[in-house]
Amino acid sequence: MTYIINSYLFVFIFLSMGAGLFYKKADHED
Amino acid sequence: MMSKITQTLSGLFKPQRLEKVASFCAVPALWLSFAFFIMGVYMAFSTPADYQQGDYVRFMYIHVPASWFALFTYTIMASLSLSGYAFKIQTAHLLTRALAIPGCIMCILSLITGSLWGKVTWGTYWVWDARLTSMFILLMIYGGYIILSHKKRLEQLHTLSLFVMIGVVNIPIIKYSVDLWFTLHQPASIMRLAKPAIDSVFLPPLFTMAISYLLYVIALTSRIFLKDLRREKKRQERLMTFHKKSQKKEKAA
Repeated sequence: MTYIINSYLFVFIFLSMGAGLFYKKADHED
Repeated sequence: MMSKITQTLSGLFKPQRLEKVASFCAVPALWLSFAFFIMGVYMAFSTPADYQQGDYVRFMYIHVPASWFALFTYTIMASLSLSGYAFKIQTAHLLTRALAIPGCIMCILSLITGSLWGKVTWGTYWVWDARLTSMFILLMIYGGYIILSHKKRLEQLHTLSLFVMIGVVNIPIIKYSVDLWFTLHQPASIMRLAKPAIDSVFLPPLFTMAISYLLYVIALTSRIFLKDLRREKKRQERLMTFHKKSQKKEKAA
């Protein structure tokens, strides 16, 4: 079960990192 | 006939209209996506475990929607490229470029969660079977397009759309690889003509996650598209002022 929870955490962190990267970058350029 | 299609399409892809839609979607879609994600996680852990796979069936909710959207995004990119190339619609090329990054993110997620799932069910992270290899080729195509289209002008994106259109050959190969070859990966159990092969109790969390991923793709695409559109506008304004200045100089001479 820990294995699955860790995978879910990984997906969440991966998605938020992707969003953070593009949203922050765009704000900076504006 | 041709001009009618061009007119309708260029009306549909009007930069002003798309800018409005994108700036409306960019932020709320992202928050909604995370809300659906959390709801999906709650539903994923409250559904019963599978009789055969046990708790590992919960990998399905993060893996399957990612694969769907990796394929779906590429299909949209290819159709946008086709309309952009055939009818010379510039915003379609910008949209194609904006879609490539979320598509690539979905593809990476699908491969990583798939290999994590594979480790506990097949006993290996990776095998070079038809489904996995064709998915890996899709990642290469996404990566290639992102690298090639980086900081390129619209005219160059117009030529690059040929690359996207050729790459679409890979999509039916991925979809039917599990039926055409003998693979370790299981055949389709939801997106098929017959009734889904899995129990309906697994479907609500799956679709909630799918909505979350869809909103994520929409949010990121809108954000990147807006940025590109504004940059392109500035470039064209600069070109116009340069053109006017050189015309004035010619007249003075």
